[in-house]
Amino acid sequence: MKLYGSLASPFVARCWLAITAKGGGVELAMYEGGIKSPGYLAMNPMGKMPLLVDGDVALPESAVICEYLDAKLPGPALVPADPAGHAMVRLLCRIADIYVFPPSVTLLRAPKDGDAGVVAEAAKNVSAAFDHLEHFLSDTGYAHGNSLTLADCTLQTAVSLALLVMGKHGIDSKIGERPKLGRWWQACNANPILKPAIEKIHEEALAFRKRREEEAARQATAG
Amino acid sequence: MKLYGSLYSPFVARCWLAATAKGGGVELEAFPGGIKSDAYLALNPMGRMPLLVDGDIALPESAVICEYLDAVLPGPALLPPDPAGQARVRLLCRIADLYLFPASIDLLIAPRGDVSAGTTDAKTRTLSALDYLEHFLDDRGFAYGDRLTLADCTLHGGLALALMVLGRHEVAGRLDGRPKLGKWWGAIRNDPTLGPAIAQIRDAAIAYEKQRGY
Repeated sequence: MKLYGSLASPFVARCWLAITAKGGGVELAMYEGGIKSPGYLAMNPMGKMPLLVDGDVALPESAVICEYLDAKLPGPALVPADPAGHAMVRLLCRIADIYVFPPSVTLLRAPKDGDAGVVAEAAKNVSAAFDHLEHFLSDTGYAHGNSLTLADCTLQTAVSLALLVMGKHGIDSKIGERPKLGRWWQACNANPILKPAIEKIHEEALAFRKRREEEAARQATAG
Repeated sequence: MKLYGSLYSPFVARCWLAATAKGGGVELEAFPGGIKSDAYLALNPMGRMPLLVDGDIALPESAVICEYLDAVLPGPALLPPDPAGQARVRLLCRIADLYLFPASIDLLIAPRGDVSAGTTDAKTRTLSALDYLEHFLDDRGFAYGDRLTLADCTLHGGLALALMVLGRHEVAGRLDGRPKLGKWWGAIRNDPTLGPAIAQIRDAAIAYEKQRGY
């Protein structure tokens, strides 16, 4: 099984955390030719990363990939067995996808001294999303219940991006003012199973940003 | 079990179709006091419809509700048993949620005849979403496999909305060059299980549009 993409993408990182929580078994690779190549688009017309390839199954979309990995890989189950618990894990993932990621990506794309209105609106939406998470999170050190689930894997990368981009714009995230979210954030980053993968993801993201900045500097000099 | 919301919302309609495909067992009603009331926000801080209440479980988000209904209601399974089939059904639902609905809603909000860059982009994104569906749809009259799944329930509202708003913005040839989508659309509207619920949803949508003056 191969996961195509770079850990600098939070959507790839989310799958990587799920793989880590399952105990591994998936190879991470960059797609030869890139994600806009005809070969890639033939499998994933959306042209985004990640893409999971398992025999003749080619699967885009990180949330779908995560549930597939949980079903296929050996290792501990990453969704609760009961429908209510399963729904709660899916709900937390969905809040990340629909409420945390989109305004965070807006903040990521907005230049540091960009449109103040756009930045303020996105920051307000991230803050509301944090409140939604606070409402539904467990208070156990795990996103839901007493073990790692797909919600931990998803929320770690979502909250990580949100904090990074708020920091870039000089916005105080006030994550600690949401007691459940604040406690979960600390516990998740210290989780012994996820910690090495979280560190690896962090390093990849830093290296990616450095490469991009150097590229921008080169272009500025050349121009 | 109660589903709070109105059928003119494609997200409520999606859950209603799933409940119908399961053989019923869910009561539909508008939340007393509305979706911005304190009581509603205490259950669903996002303040959107639908909300499913089942005993002490209060569940927002239509995609999550649909999977929950499939797990707890009797009736035929709306997900295939194998992980690859499940993934395909979830992928189709996700393409609706991430690509088709957002682009269609941008077009719904745009005034008729608007030629701004944003609206032009929304048209392109809506048509791209139809292409993504065409790529992943099956060719047997159902979205996936040979029976109803959550993908049929989700895509019905997604495509109905997309075709309506593309029509309003005079985009022609909406199903041209998308044979699987066209075939599926013809089949699903005549599905004997979903038929009466689809008619009910259409009536609710028409009444809402009239009321809003769309």
